[in-house]
Amino acid sequence: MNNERNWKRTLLAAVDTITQPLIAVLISFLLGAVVILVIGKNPLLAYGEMIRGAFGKQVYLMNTLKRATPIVMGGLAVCIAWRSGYEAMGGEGQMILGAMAAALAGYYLPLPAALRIPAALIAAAAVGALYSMFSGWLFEKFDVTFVISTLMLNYIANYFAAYLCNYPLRDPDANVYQMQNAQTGKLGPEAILPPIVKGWVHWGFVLAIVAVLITWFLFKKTSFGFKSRMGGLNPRFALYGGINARKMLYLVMILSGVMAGLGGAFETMGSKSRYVDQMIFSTGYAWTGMVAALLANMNPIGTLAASILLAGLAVGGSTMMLNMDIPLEVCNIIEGIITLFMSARMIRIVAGNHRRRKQAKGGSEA
Amino acid sequence: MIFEMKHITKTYDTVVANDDVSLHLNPGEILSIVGENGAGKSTIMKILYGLEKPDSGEIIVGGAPRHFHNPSDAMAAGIGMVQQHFMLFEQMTVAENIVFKNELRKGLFMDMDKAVETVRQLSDRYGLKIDPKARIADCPVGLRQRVEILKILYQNAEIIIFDEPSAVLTPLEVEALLDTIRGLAKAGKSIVLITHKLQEVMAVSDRVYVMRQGKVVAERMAAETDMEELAMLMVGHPLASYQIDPPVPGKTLLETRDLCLVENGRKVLSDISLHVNAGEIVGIAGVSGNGQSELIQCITGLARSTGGQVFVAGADVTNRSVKAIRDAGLAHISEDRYVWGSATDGTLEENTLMIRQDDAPFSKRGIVNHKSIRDYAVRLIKEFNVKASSPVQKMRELSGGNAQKLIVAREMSLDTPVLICCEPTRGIDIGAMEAIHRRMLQRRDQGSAILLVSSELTEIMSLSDRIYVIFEGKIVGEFTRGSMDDKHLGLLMVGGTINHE
Repeated sequence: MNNERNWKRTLLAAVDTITQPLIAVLISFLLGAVVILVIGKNPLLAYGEMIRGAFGKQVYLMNTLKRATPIVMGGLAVCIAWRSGYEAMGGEGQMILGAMAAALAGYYLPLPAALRIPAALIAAAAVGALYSMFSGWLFEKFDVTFVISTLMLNYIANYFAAYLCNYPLRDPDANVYQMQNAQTGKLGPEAILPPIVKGWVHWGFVLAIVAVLITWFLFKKTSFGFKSRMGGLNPRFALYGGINARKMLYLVMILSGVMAGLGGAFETMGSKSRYVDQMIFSTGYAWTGMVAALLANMNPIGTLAASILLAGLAVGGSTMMLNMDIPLEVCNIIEGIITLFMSARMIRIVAGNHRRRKQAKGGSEA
Repeated sequence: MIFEMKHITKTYDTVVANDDVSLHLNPGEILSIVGENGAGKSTIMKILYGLEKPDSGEIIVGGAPRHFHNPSDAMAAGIGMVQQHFMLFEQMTVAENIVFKNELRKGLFMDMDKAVETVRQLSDRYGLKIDPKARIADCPVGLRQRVEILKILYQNAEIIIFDEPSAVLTPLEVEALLDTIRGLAKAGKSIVLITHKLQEVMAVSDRVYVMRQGKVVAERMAAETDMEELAMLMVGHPLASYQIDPPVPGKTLLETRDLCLVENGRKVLSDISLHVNAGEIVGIAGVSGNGQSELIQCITGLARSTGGQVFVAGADVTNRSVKAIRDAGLAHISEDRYVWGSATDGTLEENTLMIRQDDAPFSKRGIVNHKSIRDYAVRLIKEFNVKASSPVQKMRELSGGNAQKLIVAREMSLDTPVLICCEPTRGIDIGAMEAIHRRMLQRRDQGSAILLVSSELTEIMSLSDRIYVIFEGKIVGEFTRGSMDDKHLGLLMVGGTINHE
């Protein structure tokens, strides 16, 4: 039982968890290559162009990182909840409300400049946490499955935000004749997350990395991480070991909601400078985040890497389209196949959780 | 002979569930198979019903050897089984459930009127009263079982197997069920009844097989035996292999007063009052499913009792949280090591950390100390001789005995005044079993109060200083070492009473 053997084991386990998603990504790109061949282009050149378009120039790379920011946050929200056995999919709704809260707090709160940004971030985190807690409450009180409640709450959030930016809080300066989505008022510079250095990605990306490190720390170095993992692995064992399941449920849901809410705020304050109708819904950031988390097997650092990869796929895809006349749909196909593979993983996790919870319930009733 | 099973052997991993079992059934006969939980009686019937495949042996039905791959094959050969868990559609009617898979059709559609009529005829013919149009969701358990029986009769079964049919029924429903069974036999059906309730066996059967540890140990005509003999045959004789000093009386460390649990209107525990003193091992003897699990869950905080009190080391901990009860001085080796006692996908060190996750030196202000956690796991693994290659390997990689040893190590290392051991040696080899028994005796001699729950009577008898017998959620007897009589114990366990001459 020496340390070297333990290291080997950890390494082997890591390789084991990484192989499956790696194969999934590889197959997706291979199938993508087939499609490119059918169109009559050279897949190697196309992929070269894609990689260049995603990471090859500073402006491209920064674009990729900007896109990755809300994806990482959505991914972390999934990591936190799913590792504890709660297959919440409410990242989208929480992100939408977080984005809206940041837009409103940044625009309307009569605060000195120095407090605008923190206030907007706190508002977004709080709204995300509350919305996430609500599905936790539905689960605890009424046994409503997370998959159902969170998916439905996502729609409510999106339409509520759409109402707000279309009617009561519509940007007063907007040109009604302009063909554009409804939006809230443009944030002043004191409420905007500025680029780290001119020409670089905004500070939201740095904060996302901090969030990744915090999540990693929570998972690996705290008793909270241990308890949430045990609850996810075997809820009955957690109960038997004296872990307060109710407290864990709410802590986990709050934390998960904070991540998603902040993801929305970063997008509002770093990228769009306002809430634009459908800005989270149509881009699917939260769902891409979920795919990233699944690819990384709920490892926060892996989620960061996967988010950058998936963001790069979208950003680089546009370059590929422009320079090689390959339709953007090729990228959708690749992402779609990755998602398909990851859905298999997701279904397994959801089914497993369902079975374990059913057993746990049977146990306390029997 | 309507069927015969010859030399059936079936093993699961390392456990021999059926060891060279041979039995037969005569036409129109009611045959009972009795034995403790895990004796292999359900397995042998699952093999007959096509739910399990035997490793070796032969099944002969109606004179010809058969190989059933699934229950449909068995059903086609005229064998039906009423399982413990009913398989009915809640939202559909009785008639719809009965004709399911063999629906009567009128053109493209199901002929509901004819289905209802057919069910009515069946119910008249066998005296099984039921409303064909009632919804299953509105039927009590006894009626649902009746639907299951009718479902089998509708498919023209000649042999009907009942697997623990009375486990879920109220006493009145049991009476009705026994009448039904007699009626079916009179109508020419052949019945196999799997049970561990000896009154039912004596009430209806013609012939009885007794199984123990996967083997048929006895065959008796019901008229030529009695409950006492069957009880003896079922539980076997105790082995007293440990050198045990007389107990040193100490103060009471664990006590329940009139503990009750009512679930869905059913009394699962009735006024359980027991106590365990320091330096004493107290056993709870009983056939599994008589309230032992619920009793332990109520004591340990995993379930909420509906009446009565629990005291641990003098403190009233009734319906407190698991953590509060454990903190009051209780450790608990759970009855099922994988369901409750561990996380199989967790590492060994995670499994040994459980319960102590908030204690120094393992964590301080919420931050964990990995080194002390690993050292602790390594220490427990060494001290309790757990065969493991690394503290970071997964729990599921350990054999059953070693997994159990790790759980025992975790709970015993908490050094609490009260230790609850539920089925501490279920399904593990003799070596691991003895090691665990010796640890328990050692803790007893050091002054811990140990409550032992086991469905192995031999284990209870060889370790306990005192024994409570539990039957249908009630304490029906108490013995001290020396005054125990395995025959009486066995009889009380299956609901009999002792005749004092």
